[in-house]
Amino acid sequence: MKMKRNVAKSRTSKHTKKKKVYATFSSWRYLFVSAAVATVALLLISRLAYIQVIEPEYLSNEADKRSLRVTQSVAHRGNIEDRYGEELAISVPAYAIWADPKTVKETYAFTLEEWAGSAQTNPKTGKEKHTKQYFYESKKWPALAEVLDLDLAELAEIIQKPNSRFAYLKRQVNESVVEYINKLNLAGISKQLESHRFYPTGEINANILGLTDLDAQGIEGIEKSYNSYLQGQNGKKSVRKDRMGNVIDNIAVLEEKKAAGNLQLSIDQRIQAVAYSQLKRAVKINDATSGSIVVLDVNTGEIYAMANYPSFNPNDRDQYQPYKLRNRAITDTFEPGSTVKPLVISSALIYGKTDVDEVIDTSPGWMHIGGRRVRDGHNLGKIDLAMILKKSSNIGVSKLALRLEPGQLQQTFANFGFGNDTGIALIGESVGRLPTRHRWSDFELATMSFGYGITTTTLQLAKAYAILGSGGIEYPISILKNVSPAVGQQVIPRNIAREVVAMMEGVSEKGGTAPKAKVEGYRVAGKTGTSRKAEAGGYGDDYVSVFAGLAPITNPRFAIVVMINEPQGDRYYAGDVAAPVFSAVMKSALLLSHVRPDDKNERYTMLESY
Amino acid sequence: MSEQRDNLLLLILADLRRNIVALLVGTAILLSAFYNIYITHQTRELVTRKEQLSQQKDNLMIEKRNLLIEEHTLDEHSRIRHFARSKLSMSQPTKQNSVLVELP
Repeated sequence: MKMKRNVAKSRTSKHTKKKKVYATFSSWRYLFVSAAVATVALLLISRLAYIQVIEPEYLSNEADKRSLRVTQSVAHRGNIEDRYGEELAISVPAYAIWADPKTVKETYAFTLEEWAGSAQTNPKTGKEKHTKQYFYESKKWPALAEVLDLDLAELAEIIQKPNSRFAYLKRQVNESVVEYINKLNLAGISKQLESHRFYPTGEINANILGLTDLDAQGIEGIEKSYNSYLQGQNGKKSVRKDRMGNVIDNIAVLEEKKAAGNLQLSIDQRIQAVAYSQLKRAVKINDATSGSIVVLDVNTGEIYAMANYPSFNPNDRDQYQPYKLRNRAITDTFEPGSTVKPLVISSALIYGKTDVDEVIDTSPGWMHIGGRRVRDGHNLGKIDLAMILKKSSNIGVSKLALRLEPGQLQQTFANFGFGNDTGIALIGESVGRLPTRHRWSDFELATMSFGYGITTTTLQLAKAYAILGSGGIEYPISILKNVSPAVGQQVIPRNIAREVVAMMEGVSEKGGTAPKAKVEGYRVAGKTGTSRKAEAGGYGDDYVSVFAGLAPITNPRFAIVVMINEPQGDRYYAGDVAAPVFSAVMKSALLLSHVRPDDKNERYTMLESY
Repeated sequence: MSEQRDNLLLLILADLRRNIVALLVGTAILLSAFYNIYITHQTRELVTRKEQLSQQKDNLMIEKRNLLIEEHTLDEHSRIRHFARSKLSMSQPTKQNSVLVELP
């Protein structure tokens, strides 16, 4: 601009000079004005150059100080959903209310002396004025204490902390409370955005989902195992804001915001709810100490339900007690007792030590093995393999087990997944105990055949039955919904698995050990297990009642294992304690999953195609 | 003062005409400068609008989450089951009162 004007001026002057328009033209005036204008221009230009070229940082810094801001966008923790997208854990924003004691103390006096001391007299008007307010006189503080659910004394104590610049008053406060506090407008009280984890299903899923701490870090269960996936990352952006606080320019992304992933579990919440309520009921009725239940889809290895009792409400942190939090279905091991008998029969069939039609003589109902006694409840006489399972004959399976080479039975147990992790990949999983030795006494082999001397978790047992149900195919157990079809591995010959499943049908029939395990409309295969609990110095008077089963037999869909720990009272047998839970849960699972009834006398209508 | 005084306006116009290129370039610069200001302003308004909308989106998401919680607390399976049993006297169908129909 300046340049242009100069050029124009010089041209005009030349022009006027030539034409001599003005008689009064005096050259010194012209020179004087030119010089003056040039000086001013030079000054302006040099100032401009100084600002723009020599020291450009100063002003742009000042501008940035007034307009450049860093904004944070919070990535909320991902939701956890069940297999149909029902949310099991949701994060909502919450606020932490904190105080800056120093600021508060500058404005409020806590003692009357201090208040009196803060009085200042205005020299002009002569009026006395207090620079501080008396804390206990203010009506705002009791209001704050009330809305935060604190005592005023407690609040005063927190705020009077010496040399402190930060103290939480209350965390996980919701929006409406924050608005109220904003309206109180107290000096030194601020809020901070955080996130509150909410579990709509409460205690039903508490053991498997786990918990997050106040800083939204998973500390138990799935929340911990998949913490990094669920977490996401807060983003930071540097932006320019105008006078009104509106963002007018996005300058740079300082930290990329990573949205948290939502986790979809294989849990079917409907079945899970039934499983939990039935388990809870059974544990309470039988006065037991704890219980677990696992529902597996035999064809995919997905967990449809996994519940434990005792549980707790994860929305109420006062209930938090470590023993209630444990996911007993994967952490606690027990001796599976008679529930391993179908596996022993599988083993005998695999190694060709028996055939499906063999009849074994179990009379007189007891036998000596290596100087120790093994016995049945009563003399069962000559019975076939299915009857061994139906009546749960210890002698029958012991005889089969003793025909096996040492190591063969262990190998079969190992094939069924005992002593190995199930692939669920949750923290705290126990693998149980499957001793591998070269030398076994006959008695040890016999007791192992009815489930003593080895330990499993409820989940491992469910997996073993799922392998039977799927025709001998082992699927990795998953708590997450499978995205691609599961790839299984044949570990037990298909025909043997099928035969053993068919043998287990008798258990839930009349005369079997668990008629209460029957499911209306479906053929059910299962096995009871009631084992004494080992304690220091031998076996005590407490029992573990287990029922493991499959349905429907013609094309198994679900494997369910119910474990009730230490039922008290007269009825401690699994057929009375665990089998009813199995029946109720299996019925719900089959109906909810629309599995076709396979009972022979099912009323049946086939619609003709039209 | 001379009699024949040049008309200043004509002089200026003549001068401008002689420098028509510079004049046009100058005007173009001026216009583009104003246009620049205008566009910048519009951009800022759009950025602000976008920011407001994403804030609104966040708020809606939060509300959605809160509503989800409410929904799932209310439609919790055992609660529905309880109401079905106690208030509506419903029960799970048994074998006796159900007929299996299979579509071909």
